[in-house]
Amino acid sequence: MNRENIDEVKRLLIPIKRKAREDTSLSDEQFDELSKTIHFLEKVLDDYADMPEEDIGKIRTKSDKSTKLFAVLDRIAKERNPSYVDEFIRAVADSPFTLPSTLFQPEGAIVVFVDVHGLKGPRLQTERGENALDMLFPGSISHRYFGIPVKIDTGEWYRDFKCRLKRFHELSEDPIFQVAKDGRTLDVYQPLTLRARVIPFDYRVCAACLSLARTDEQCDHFRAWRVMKLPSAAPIKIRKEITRKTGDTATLRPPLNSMVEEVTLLKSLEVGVAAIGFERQRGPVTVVVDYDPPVGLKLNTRGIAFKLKISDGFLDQLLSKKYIARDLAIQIIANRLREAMREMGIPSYNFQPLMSAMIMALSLDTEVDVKRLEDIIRQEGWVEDAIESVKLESNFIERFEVGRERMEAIFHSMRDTQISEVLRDIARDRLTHTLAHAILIAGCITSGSTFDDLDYLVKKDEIVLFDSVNGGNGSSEMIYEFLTSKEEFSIGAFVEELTKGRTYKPKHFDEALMELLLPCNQGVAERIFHKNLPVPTYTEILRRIEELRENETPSSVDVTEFFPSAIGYHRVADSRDIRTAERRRGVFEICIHGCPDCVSLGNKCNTGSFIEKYNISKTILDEFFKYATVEITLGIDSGRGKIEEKLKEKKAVIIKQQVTSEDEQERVRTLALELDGTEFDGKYASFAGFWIDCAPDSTSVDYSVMMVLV
Amino acid sequence: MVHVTEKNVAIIDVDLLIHECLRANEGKKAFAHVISPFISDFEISPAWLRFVSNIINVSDIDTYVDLIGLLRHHAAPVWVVTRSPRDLAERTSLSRRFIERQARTLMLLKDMGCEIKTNSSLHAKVTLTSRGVLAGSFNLTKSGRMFNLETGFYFPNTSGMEKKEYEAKLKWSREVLESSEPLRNKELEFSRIR
Repeated sequence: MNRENIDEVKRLLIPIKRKAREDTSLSDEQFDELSKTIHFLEKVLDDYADMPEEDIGKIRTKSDKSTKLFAVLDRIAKERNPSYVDEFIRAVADSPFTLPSTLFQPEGAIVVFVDVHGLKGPRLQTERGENALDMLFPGSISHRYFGIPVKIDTGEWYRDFKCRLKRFHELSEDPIFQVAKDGRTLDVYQPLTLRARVIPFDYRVCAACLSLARTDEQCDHFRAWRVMKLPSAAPIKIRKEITRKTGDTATLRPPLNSMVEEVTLLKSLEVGVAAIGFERQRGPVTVVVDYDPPVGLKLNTRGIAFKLKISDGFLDQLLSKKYIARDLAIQIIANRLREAMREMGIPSYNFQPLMSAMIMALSLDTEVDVKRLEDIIRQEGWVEDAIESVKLESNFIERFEVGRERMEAIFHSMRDTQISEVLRDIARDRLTHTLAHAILIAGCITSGSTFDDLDYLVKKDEIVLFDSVNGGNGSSEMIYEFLTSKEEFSIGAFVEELTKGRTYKPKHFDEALMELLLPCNQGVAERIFHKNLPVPTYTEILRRIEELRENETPSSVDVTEFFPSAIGYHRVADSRDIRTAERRRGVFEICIHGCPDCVSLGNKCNTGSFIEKYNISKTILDEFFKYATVEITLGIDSGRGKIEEKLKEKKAVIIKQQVTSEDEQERVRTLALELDGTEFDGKYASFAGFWIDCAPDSTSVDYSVMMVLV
Repeated sequence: MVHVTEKNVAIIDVDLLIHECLRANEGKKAFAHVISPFISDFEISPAWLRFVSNIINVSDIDTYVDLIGLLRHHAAPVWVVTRSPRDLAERTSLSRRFIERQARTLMLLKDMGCEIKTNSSLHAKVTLTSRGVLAGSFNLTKSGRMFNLETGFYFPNTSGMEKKEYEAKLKWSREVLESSEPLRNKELEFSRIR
């Protein structure tokens, strides 16, 4: 408390005293008690005001320590089997010194207890909060305790695919923060004690809903089969920034600085991480189960913020490409459908046939005007077509359990889906989200981290990368330190650097990110194959095309129709059997909007793996890169003079050549050879990049070379 | 043709080898002739190595020998012509440290599968690949690439006069290779000489 606060408190006491004097309902004894208390408080305030600063400091320290000890006592009182020593030992050290209870537990860690029923060993286990959300979330199966499979309780969820967590676990009394999801605001509670149980050795999993038989999840489908391997599970998490303290800022080098305005080190960042549900997968079947309520924790950590530059001009140009607008519309419909299914308690494994049926009924395979699509979707006519289409789909799937009535209900609920009003915002979100994936991967490369060490959250036009443990782990700081090569090309500067003796030279972040922004070579190879374009002889591309040649023939379907065609079996409904249908459908599953070779993160994506493909777009990211570099890009036929002029002016140039026939030679590298080492105003041209592209709507193979001045 | 000095020799060095890696990746004939009487490994600035591609991966490269290693990784043959450490120890007053560095670098290159040849009359300094030739006063050492005042020329193997110069240098380089002796293990042992 400072001097101003003391005066303010004193001022607040004056009206209280006056009111007490005027209050005739107070008895003499009550008035006397109140006066004495106010007088005592005034005296204490005066004494406090007169106290030297160092004494106040000592009192504060003692007060903090006693608060810690009271918190320990409070926690012990709640626990059934506390450790006592572990709890007290952290509390006795005087700040700034700490007395760690183990060599492995970082101090300041949020601790969650896991109460395991049926374990031959200590029943109550202590875990870091982050582990609870990553590996020990409700619904997860872990071999963490003596190698025995243990499941974190969820209770039954097979009826509506929701877990009521408060019935089984001890959560904080009050929510610790809130998150927004699909237009709803959800309260998030901190888990204090999670209940778990040993799974009976004879594992049985329900083929219908993937719930584990003979556990708390027991369903009534009577279709549990014995399995050798338990299904895998992953949490679905939402991250939310709560507070931040900024530090230094930096900018990336061209051309990245035209996409990312500024990079800021966040010295302190408070993030709320909420697990809102989990995905369980076995073979091709995935179920998604929601938590009620979500559980999470607040991390005090460190991070880096990337402020993006996304112009309206880019969004206009992007949405003028009809196939991209159409694919975005499909993504909007997919997310809306998933939400509608969740509201109606329809299991997620029914998603694909319903989505496929909608694509068929709305003719989304072929290019469609988004405004017209909205008009069609508002009408009733397509609903019956969709229901008929589902019947065709069900020839190729093991099980489809949504009756006609529910199908009608769900399709009718889709009729008010907004598309054109939200298309721009969705395009912006897709770009930011996909770029966040690229930034996360680049960050892991630079800092030598894994996806368990770093995490991301997405805001409007900003991406935040943060250390995913309480207290931080140094990853963000390392990324910031190696954000970009600070070295100028000058011998003197480099020689000076050499004398400093570096023990670790990672790939700089900007270089790692730039490579992730280049076209995905898996996607490029697939698109070249299906478009019958001249095949580049570079190993990475040729090898993939040759693999495709061994197993497939190029499709007669236009590549821009592949994304909707790959959803469900509507495109191959005339196949005579499921194997043929699967093979024919597999042809369409090429990288258009992302794949594991480029930006797909699977269950590390904020949306979960099940619906990830409807929430990212590598195509949009590629378009953004092209748009951001348009000022430094020239065609090979612009002439050497113009190219040199651009290089001199912008310090970088991308030279592009479009090859449409086998007879055409690739010339860009020859030009790069000729420019190498050439002097421009005291700087020298250097060969800085080479990539091959074939966009989904392109009719050529594009070779690009980047030259920079160093 | 590009006029080369100590300011841009390393850029052209690095770029030439990266071009060669791309050529090897294309399945086309790629090779390198590295001709220098004195050779020692040296660090390369990350600024010179900035290269992004979805075709090849230029990373984990710290030194010139690492760059040769990348080329070898793409199965391109590399010939090195230099003076043998034993010859340098017997016939010159160069420091032991300098000669040891040369010997170490040659051992690294040999382990990578480079063909090493020696020629006691060698004074020329040339780096030649299928894409171009870099020739001048610069030895393949840290001093030669960074500290000394150097001069030379770079001819890309493209067209016109540059192509003619390149072809002449290629012919010369092959003659040097033919007239040089393969490096024997004995020549790397010079400790007993002094």
